[in-house]
Formats: sequence, C-alpha cells, structure tokens
Amino acid sequence: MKTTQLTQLRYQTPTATLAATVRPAAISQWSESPVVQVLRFQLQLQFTDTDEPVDIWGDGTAFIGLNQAVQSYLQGWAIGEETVVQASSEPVVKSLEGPFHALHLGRLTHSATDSILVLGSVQLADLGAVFEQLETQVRPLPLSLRPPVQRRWRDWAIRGGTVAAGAIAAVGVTITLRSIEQPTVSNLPEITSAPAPQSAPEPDASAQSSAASQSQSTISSDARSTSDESPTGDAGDSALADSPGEGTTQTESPHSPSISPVVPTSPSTSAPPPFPEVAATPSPPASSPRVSNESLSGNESPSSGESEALLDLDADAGTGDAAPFDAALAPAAPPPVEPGPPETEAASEAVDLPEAEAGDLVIPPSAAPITGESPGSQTSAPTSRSPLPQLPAQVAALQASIADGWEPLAAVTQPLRYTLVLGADGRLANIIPENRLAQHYRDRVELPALGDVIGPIDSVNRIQIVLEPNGTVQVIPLPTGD
Amino acid sequence: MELNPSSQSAEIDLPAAPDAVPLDSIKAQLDLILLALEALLGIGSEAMLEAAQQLGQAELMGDRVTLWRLRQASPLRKGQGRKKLDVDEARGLAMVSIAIAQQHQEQIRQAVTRLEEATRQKRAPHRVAVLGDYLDTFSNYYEERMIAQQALTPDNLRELALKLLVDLLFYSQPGGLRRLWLTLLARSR
Repeated sequence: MKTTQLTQLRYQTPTATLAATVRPAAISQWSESPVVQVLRFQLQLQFTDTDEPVDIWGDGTAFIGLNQAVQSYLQGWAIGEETVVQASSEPVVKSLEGPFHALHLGRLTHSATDSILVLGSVQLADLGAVFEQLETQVRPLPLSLRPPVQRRWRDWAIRGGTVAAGAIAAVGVTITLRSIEQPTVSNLPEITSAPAPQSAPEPDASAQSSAASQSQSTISSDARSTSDESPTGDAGDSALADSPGEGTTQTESPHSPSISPVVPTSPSTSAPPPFPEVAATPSPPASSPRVSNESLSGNESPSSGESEALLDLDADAGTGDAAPFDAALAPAAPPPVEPGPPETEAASEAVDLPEAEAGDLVIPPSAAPITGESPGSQTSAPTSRSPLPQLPAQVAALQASIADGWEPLAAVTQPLRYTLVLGADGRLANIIPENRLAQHYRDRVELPALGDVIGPIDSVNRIQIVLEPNGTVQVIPLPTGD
Repeated sequence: MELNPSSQSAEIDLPAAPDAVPLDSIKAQLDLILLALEALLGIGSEAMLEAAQQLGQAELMGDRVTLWRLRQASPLRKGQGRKKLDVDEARGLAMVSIAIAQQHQEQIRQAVTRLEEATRQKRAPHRVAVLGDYLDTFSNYYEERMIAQQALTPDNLRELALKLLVDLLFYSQPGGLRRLWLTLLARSR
C-alpha cells in the first residue's frame, strides 16, 4: 500500500499564524532544505480592533498565490516599487495611505466579511514573517510538477477521438446486450472504463459494431468477474471520513462543514447514470450491500480488473475552497462561505455538499443524462435496440486518461467525486471535490490540470468524475445550466 | 517557529548537500549556475551576452572575453584568472542567470519533473533521457573547466548537478533573483 507522508507545519507570530500541510518532494534529496509541496494551508490573522480573527485557507495553488503576493509586495515596498497587479482573482497587496496595506484576497476562501483586509505595518510584517519562516525551514515548490501521465492525458485528448469511438461503441453494444440478458444487473464496468462518445462518425459505425461484437465476450467476462467481487470494507466507510489513513497527519477543523462523517446513503438515492446508455439499466436492488454504502447507487461499476499505477502526484487543483483543516487553528464558529461570482458558485456547492452527505451524496438534480432520461426511468431501454447515444469523444478521452492513472487507494472505500468546470473555450477552469474524501485525496488523484483543453463540448460545461474504489472511473457530462 | 508533526507524520529529513564543491564561494556558485544552464539548455556565451544586453548589463559583460573573465573568478576554475568579482559584476551574473532560467522555465520544470518521478520510482536519474544528457554534459563541462579535485567523485559531481537543477527550478520562478541572492548569501556564511 502506498504511503503518503504528510507533515504539518505551523508558524506563529503575534498577529499571524500559518499552518500548512506539506508533502516532501522526492527531489528534496538534492536540496539543502526539504522541498515540499504545500497541499493545504490555513492562515489566521488577528486584528487588534476586533476579537474575531480572520481565517484564510486553501490548497497549494492558493498558497503559492498568496505567498507570492505577500513576498513581492514586501520586496517592492522596501524599494518603493508599485505592486504589479495580477489577475483580479489572484490575491494582491496594495499600499494605502499611511502605514496601512490592503490585502485583496481575490478568490481565496476566507472567513472575513470583506474580501479586502486592511493590514497595519505590524500585521504585514508578521504576515511576511510567517511565510519567511516557512521558507526558511522548507522550500515550497512554487509550482506543481506535472508528471508525464498528464502529458499522456494530452496525447489521449489528441488521439482519443478515434480510439475511444471504437472502444466505446463496442462497449455500448455489449452493455445493451447484457442489459437485455440481465436486466437486474446494475454494475456496468464496461461503461465506466470505455464510455461511448456522443456522436460517432457515420462511416465508423459499422466497423465499430463488428469490433463490438468481437469484444463482447471479453468485456462480459470482465464484468461478471468484477460483479462477483464482494464489497469488502464498506462497513468502514463511515470511519474513513475521519481517518483517511495512508499515514496522513491531517487534522480536521471542527468548524469545517466537511467534517461530518459520511453515512450510508439510502438505496433509493438516485443519480444520473454515467452515460446515457446506463439509463437502460435499472438501479441495483436495495439489498445490495454495496448500494447501501454507496452514495450513488445507480453508478455501481465494478472494475474490469485494471490496476493502474497511481503516481503520487502533486496536486494541481485550483479549488481554493478547501475548508480549514487545522483544529488547533480554527475558531469555534464555522466561517461563513461567501457567495461568489458564477465561477465560485461551484465552490459554494462543494462546501455545501458535505452537509448533504448526512443523507445523500447529491448529484444536482439537473445533472440528468444527456438523453434527458431521468434516473428513475431506467427500465425502458433494455429491450430497445435503437442506437445508443454516445458521449463526446473528448469526454471519452478524458475518461480513458483518468482511468489509466487511477489506482484505488486502499484506505478509501467510497467513491471520490469531482466536478470539472469547463470554461467557454473548453479549458478546464476548476476542479471541485464533491465530497470530503475527494477533497482530502485531491492531491493523490490524477486529474487534468487547470487550463488543459478538454472541450468545448456542446451543452456541457461541467463534467463529473467518479473514481470508484474498485478502480473504475465514471465520467458524467452535466448539461449547461447545472 | 513551531514544527508540529502528528504521530503519523514523517520527519522531514534534511538531505546532505554535496560538500566536495565549496559552494560557500559566491563566485563559484554563480559560475556553476551558468554551467548548469549551459548543460541543461544547450546554450552558450551568446545567449548570456544577449541576456546581458537586454538587462542593460552589456557594459559589464559586453563580449565573450569579458564574460569569460568574470566567470574565471570562480576559485574552482583552472588557470590563472583574475579571481576578482565585485558586487556589480556578481549582480550582473546573477541577473543574467535568472533571466536565462526564466526564459526557459518550462524546460527546467520538465527536467525537474522527470527527476521527481525518477526519484519516486527509485530509478537512476541518468537513465532518464533529458537527465542523462544533462548529467553527461555537466560532467564534461566541469572536468574541462574546473580544477581536478580528488574529493570530487563522479557521484559527488552528479549530486552537484542535480542540486543545481533543483535550484534552477526555484530561480526560474517569480522572485528568482531574490531567492538566488539569499541563497548566495546564506551559503557563504
């Protein structure tokens, strides 16, 4: 079992306290001081005029932005240079009249009522000091080191259309046939490992059909073998919420909404199937032990036996809305989550979602299959022989690439769910962990990096990724407007 | 400053820096940084002179000979160079180094990413193509230009090269010049 070594660092000055969860990088052995990847941080600023400290927290990307903002401002301030303003969403420090300085928090998650904090010079000095103390002890990586798998993702994106189309069509036909044979089987490993494109080129359809029939027996046997897997470890799911294992040292903030343990969901939890053709298959029976512990009962998908290597990758998520993690640092009251611009609404959802975990892990009700079929109407299609609706090739390539790099973590027995938010240009704009486990393991999951080109995909600006403990990967395009 | 590891945390072990090369010399460090850039990026003195010109440092290093003489100040260098480097010249070399590193930050980043992966996978760095080329070139340049040192084994040389590569990652980012200066001062204490 892979062990990820995390360390908590804490630096305190009279008005600023910085806590960070870091992971030593392998290249530390060629550095005089340890090179670390900051995974999460929490900064607490004490203001003399109020009793309420302000908490600022986020992931590694947010830390880099904040650290750079503070350091560059201090550097420039000392020599009389004006701060170069980066993107409006990035934190920046600007000078004010007299000995005051404005810390614009940008998209950083914080507990303040305003996104602009006015700091005195002492506070600014303390703020600089905690960052400096951290950099004295360790060398925080100023960027994430992307592994070749992510470049492999780009290669997949380029080549994935043709390759995925054939595989997906084969899988889709097989699933239809299986669903006709076994209408009660809910697990669809084929789909999750090789989703169907939404629109396959006409000339390829016949070739894909023949390929599909040839691979039918293989896929079916894989599905049977995986469906025979006993859902071990599910009883420990709720315990996992607070003990992710793997040698992590993370402590939870009491005021984090995401601390609530994940409880088994009701079997009637409905969720959109990963692909339109899944709608042909009814939900698993309530008696299934897996269903009782799975948050998305409709998405049971035993793996096909794949075991991909999981590279211990540096997190590249720009979620920035990770809840505070340091219990020692956290105030008693939960910090309010600020409603932000549309791009951050997803972040708000991500914070809200854990509260919903008490009953359900919620997929937004609008996240219906592309075909428009509701999750409840899953019994209509088994007898249909009509052509299966297919997913866009980009989504298929995305699914294949993520599946290629997904190696289930032994300590995780619940699905990890993420929502990829696409920009208008089809680039990945945000990655939102949809549950607390996903948030916790974000740095150990290989997902495309922000800025990677995934689309554009018609009528889709969000894609949900579900990483199952059995190794399968589901990709669910969410129609625009979710 | 408070280190607060939990019972499950790992100690951050401080790796031993290669000590066969006297990195306490600012002049040596500056020369070696440029050496690492040459070995990794395949650049030569032309690129350094061009960077110097863009930075307004042409007066300090306007031609190859001047540049060579500045780098020859390193105590590690063969020959009877001037062995003097004033603060402005050191600053100029630092600025040129940082400018080149920042121009090629993607290349540096890729190399360090490869190194990170190879290390995690317990693979010898020299077996990775880009790293192997870098290490070979660095060793060749070093042996050509520097005084032979009995204490400097091939392993030491490899460690030095990789250490400089990691340093280049930090120097190639915003604030790199400041980091370099702090490092030069810190190591020379």
